Amino acid sequence: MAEAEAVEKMRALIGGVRNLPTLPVIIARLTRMLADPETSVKKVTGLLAEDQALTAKILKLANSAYYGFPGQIASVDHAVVMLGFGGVRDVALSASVIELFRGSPAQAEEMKRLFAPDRLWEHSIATGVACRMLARSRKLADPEEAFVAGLLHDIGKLIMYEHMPVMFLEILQDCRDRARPFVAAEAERDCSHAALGRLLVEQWKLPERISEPVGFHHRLRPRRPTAGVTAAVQFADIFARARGVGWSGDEYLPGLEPEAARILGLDEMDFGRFIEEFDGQMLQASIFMELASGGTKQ
Amino acid sequence: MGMVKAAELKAGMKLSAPLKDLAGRTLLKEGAELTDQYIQRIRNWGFEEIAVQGEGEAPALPPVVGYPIEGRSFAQVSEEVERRFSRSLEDATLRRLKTAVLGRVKELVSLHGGS
Repeated sequence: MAEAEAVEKMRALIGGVRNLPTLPVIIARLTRMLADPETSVKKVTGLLAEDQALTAKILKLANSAYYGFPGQIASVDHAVVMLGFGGVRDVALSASVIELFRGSPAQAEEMKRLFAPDRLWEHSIATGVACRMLARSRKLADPEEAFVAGLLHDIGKLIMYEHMPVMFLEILQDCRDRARPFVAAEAERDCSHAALGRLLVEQWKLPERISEPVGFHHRLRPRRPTAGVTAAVQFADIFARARGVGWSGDEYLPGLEPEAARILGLDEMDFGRFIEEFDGQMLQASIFMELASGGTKQ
Repeated sequence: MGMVKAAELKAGMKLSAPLKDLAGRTLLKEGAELTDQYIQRIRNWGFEEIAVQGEGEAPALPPVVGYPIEGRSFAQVSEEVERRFSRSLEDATLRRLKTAVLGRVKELVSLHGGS
């Protein structure tokens, strides 16, 4: 089936889903503000002051080892200066999205054996971490935005898990029983987690720089300005699975497109060093796992 | 932890304890990576010696990330790695990635693994 049709079907599916998760309004307002060159630090901190819980999360993340800023970041003003507008938005977004899907409804026993949201987050965080490393070393995009794109790349699977559990379980069983990759099993059912994820991200009014890598991470559009980040997400996804971090529903690595390998210069890449750096970064990113599992550890 | 004289600090070293001023305010956090700029500041602030990670202590073991390692042999973990890559054997880049992953797994099993 043609890809355009799959997208249409996903659009119809998502249109039929009631109670689609919505991001806090403040994130959309932040995104709009950031697109406006007139925006001042004062305006951004003024907006954030309306949401104390979010402010607390931003400060907790900004002070975590993952961002590695020297000294204590004690106020939102300071966080904006250190992280930049985009960085603050990305941190707020990561915290909000993870929280949004926390405590998903319990599913049937058979589903529990094949899939768990916690494990998908682990995979997604690992993908975000690898994506950020690539964006930084290859100068493809803003590293924090690349982290968000990686973090959200499989968000479509969470929509399936929560809102289309029957079909989702069928796909997972198919992957297990016939030893096939998730993308092959879903395509047979005119389904696309990537297209679904992109629609959700668009609905959240996040920029194309995030929605396109989510939507095209298994088949990139080489001429789009977002091709670099999309290639990074594609390889980061493969890498996270290869490294054995988390679980995204199936056992096999998705395909690596030659174009993605070329954009990222994978021919020249020292994978041993990449793994070493990734492992260290993953430990520092444990703060995100705490958010995902609802941990209260300070 | 090891102490390094301010004059001998190098960019890339990481603090093994927070750097505080006399009033107890944190100037640099534990784990902060030194840059030439920070080193200059540390000297300007008048510190003589700084606690730096890794100096004079055994290097930290690489952390266990990814495949469960504890109580497993290399053969057991590598079987899992091979299965993940089993559909990607035609791709030379991914074959190279597999070799690197197996290398890391071998190292981790020898340090943390069992049996």
